[in-house]
Amino acid sequence: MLFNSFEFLIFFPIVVLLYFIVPKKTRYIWLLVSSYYFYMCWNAKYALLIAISTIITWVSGLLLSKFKSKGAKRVTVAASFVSNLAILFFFKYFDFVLDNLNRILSYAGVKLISNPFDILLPVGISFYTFQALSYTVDVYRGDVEAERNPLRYALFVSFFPQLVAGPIERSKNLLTQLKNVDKIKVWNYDRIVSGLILMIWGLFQKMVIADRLSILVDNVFYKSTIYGTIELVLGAVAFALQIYCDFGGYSTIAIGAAKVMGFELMENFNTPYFATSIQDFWRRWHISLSSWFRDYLYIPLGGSRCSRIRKYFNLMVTFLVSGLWHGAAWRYIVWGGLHGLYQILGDIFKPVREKIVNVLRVDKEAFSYKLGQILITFSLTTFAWIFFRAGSLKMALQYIERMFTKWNPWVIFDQSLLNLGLEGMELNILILALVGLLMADLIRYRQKITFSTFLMKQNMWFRWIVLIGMILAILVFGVYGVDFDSTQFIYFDF
Amino acid sequence: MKKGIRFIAFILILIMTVMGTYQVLSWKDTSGDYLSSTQQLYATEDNLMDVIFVGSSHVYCGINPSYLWDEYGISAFDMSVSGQDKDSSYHTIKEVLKTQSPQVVCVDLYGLLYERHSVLGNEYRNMLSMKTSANSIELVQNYVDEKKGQMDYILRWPIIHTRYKELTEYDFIQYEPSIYGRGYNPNYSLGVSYYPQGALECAESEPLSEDNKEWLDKLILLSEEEDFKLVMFLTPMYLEPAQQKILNGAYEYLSEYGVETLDFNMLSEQVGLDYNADFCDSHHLNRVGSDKLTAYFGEYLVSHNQLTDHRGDEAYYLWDECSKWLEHLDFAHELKQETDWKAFSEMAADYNEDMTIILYLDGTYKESTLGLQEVQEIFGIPESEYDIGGKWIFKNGECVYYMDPGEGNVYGMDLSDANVLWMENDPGKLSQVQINGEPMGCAFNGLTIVVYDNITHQVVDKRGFY
Repeated sequence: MLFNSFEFLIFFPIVVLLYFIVPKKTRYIWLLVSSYYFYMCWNAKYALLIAISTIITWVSGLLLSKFKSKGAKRVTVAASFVSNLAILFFFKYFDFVLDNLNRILSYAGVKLISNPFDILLPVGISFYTFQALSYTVDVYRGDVEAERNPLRYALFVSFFPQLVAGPIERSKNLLTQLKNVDKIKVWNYDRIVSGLILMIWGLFQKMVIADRLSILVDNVFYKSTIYGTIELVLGAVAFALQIYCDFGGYSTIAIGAAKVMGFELMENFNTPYFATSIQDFWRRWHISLSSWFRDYLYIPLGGSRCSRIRKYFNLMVTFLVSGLWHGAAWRYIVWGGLHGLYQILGDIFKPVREKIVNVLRVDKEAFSYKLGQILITFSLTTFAWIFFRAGSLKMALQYIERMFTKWNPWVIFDQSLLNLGLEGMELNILILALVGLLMADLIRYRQKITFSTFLMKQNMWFRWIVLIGMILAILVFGVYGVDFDSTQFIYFDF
Repeated sequence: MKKGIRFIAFILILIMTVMGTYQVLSWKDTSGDYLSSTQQLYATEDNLMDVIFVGSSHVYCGINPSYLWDEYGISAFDMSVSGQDKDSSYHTIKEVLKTQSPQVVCVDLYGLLYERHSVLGNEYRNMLSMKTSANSIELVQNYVDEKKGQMDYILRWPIIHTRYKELTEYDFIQYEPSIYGRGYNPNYSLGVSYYPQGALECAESEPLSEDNKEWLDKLILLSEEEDFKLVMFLTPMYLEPAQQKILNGAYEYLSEYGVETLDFNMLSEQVGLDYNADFCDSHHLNRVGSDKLTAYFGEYLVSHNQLTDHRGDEAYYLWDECSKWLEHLDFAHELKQETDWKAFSEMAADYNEDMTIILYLDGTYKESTLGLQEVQEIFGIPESEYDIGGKWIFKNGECVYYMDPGEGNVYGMDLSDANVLWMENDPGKLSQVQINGEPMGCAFNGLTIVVYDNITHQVVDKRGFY
């Protein structure tokens, strides 16, 4: 069930209404039933995988709370990780590994291994697996107590707003809230309205901006071999914005939906394209995942409090794994590797940069300096996105080669750009929507408040006009219905 | 409490805004000139229609209710939609019966010859024209597969929201012929058709398919329940023998139930059809052919039924307006055929009711060998004005504005809610007269006549003579 589907439009109000009506003590059971129904709408059989992951991590939590010896605890954590990651590996990476193994075998002239399985990637498996695993580690570290109620714990793993594409919640945050679900006040006008605003804003980002951009992006990446520098740069920039609005939009809807029911999910995006460095970018992009990798991989590996070489190794490993988490393909690994490399090179050349800044007497507080940093960071991340979006590593390299060699500035002036899939009114709608997005992000960046908080502070007439305008924009200009080739949320594949 | 009221107020305003937007975006037949028999049905007061013709484009091209009105005073109506399938036809009749109590319902048999729409536009026309009700939902459920967008058709918004790309003035203001029109959509072109010799020689019949039988059974049952006389007919068209077999099967079945049938392929001699002159294509009658067919149908209806002559009854004013509209369309067609300047001018000047005529003399018009000075007499232009030239606007035969050729003169005028006329003196330019920004000029040095119809809100013709 997609957030931007008619089914969800029916499902969500019913769930919320009954959530407030049922006895307080049984609220979490109702939410658990709703969450499993939500997931089973996609594939009923695969709900079993969530259940298995839930049982393993719940039992491991209980064992961790019982065991006194460190060794037993470690074995428990290892068992939880191995079993969960084995499931993830089988469903997500088996084909990829077999494919690469066969390539190596073919070079050696050995008979290839045929794939005995026809595996369909379970939606959201990377998200809920990581969420469940973080619980095991949190209990092991003593950050949270083991949850004794299996149903409540099952809800923590499967909570429908963030089940299939995050934010990847921490037990300390979400599980604690779920324990106090009976204390949530039903009618809290400001909270409900604020949640609804977030949901509307997320839908706007997804349906009006991301899905409209996808028309141009799909066209440019599909026909990349006939386009030159300008179209290819435009295609890459458009994808950078598309994936932001697509994934950011999903997260915003998820956070909004949870808020309506009285839950505060963690922030997942914080104006990532205003980042002034790659390090800063990862503090703003997919925060729940990057902080997961920081807490459960980078720091356990040694983090940055070690030798420089070791630090670079830790960084590279973290980003390569992050790339692999996104998808079982070399292009994702390269994408992750690029981000690791950016940071390593950034660190190596930091003294040189500092020296140039001093020699040229550049004012680091000036707007122009910050703007330059933002533009450079955006360019680097956008370049990396090419690997993320291209159909394969080979196609990404072809794309980049043409982008740097087929210089065609005339297309800016001869209206060729209007033939990329968006023209006339569609382009005007997109530009207007992007201006809206820029304004919302500027508010977030400068005032440090979310779009919903900003809107809640405004006069009623202004708030109503903006909200009604956004709802109408979604209903009228949203990309859905008969002309719509169901573009799912990009991050559902991960 | 206060916040609760505020929340409800917001929801109410939102609903009103969304409903207003829906009105604008709602399905309209843009490729069919915004003409909608369904809207015409909804615009008609209850219990006025005595005879209904139900069917596809064959009906709105072939049956002229204005003819029946003018000749017999029969309040007839073409409840027809392009490519009307069997399900749509049945549910359309049910929609009509909500407000009307026709004595006779004549149903086009063409629906027997196909199952599904081949044109998406026709699917939209049939599924989206009616107001949302249990009847319209039932139609969608019967016709559209659950997995192929049934819910989209029921909700409508997922389909119609993309219309923002094609909105015109008639999405914001009412297209008037979609109110007073009686379903007829005359076609003035001349096309090729062939006498369906092979089909008519085919005497064999084919047993009715399940779908066809079910449709006929439902229609017969409905006629009994709602107490109207059911007549099934086929307009003249080219058919293959295989199609005729299906029809023959239906005729046999219908005769068992005593339902009258009229096959106008078989009756083409009695109707007096000329296959070289009365068709606009192999399947559809043109304006001339439709009057011949309607004349025959009219005779049939009055001789087989007790139908009241409603002429003169004010309640039936829509039929009068429709006749007037059709007269205007006929006039526009005739005017377009005329090539002689004087005859053209006289026609335009004589047919002045509900017309706006813009006339201008420009450049060296006096040197024309056409004898343009006669325009003075035709339109009643004073000699003094003719001598200096200029621009004249005639509305309903009266000169309402004269612009002398003085430099810098400009004039603007509303022709309708959506059409504006702009005039300026800018010698040597054809853009001196514009309607909605489109240049109407035709002659640098001579006479230009623009004929605008105040009923159809169309530029009937623009001509330059020099």
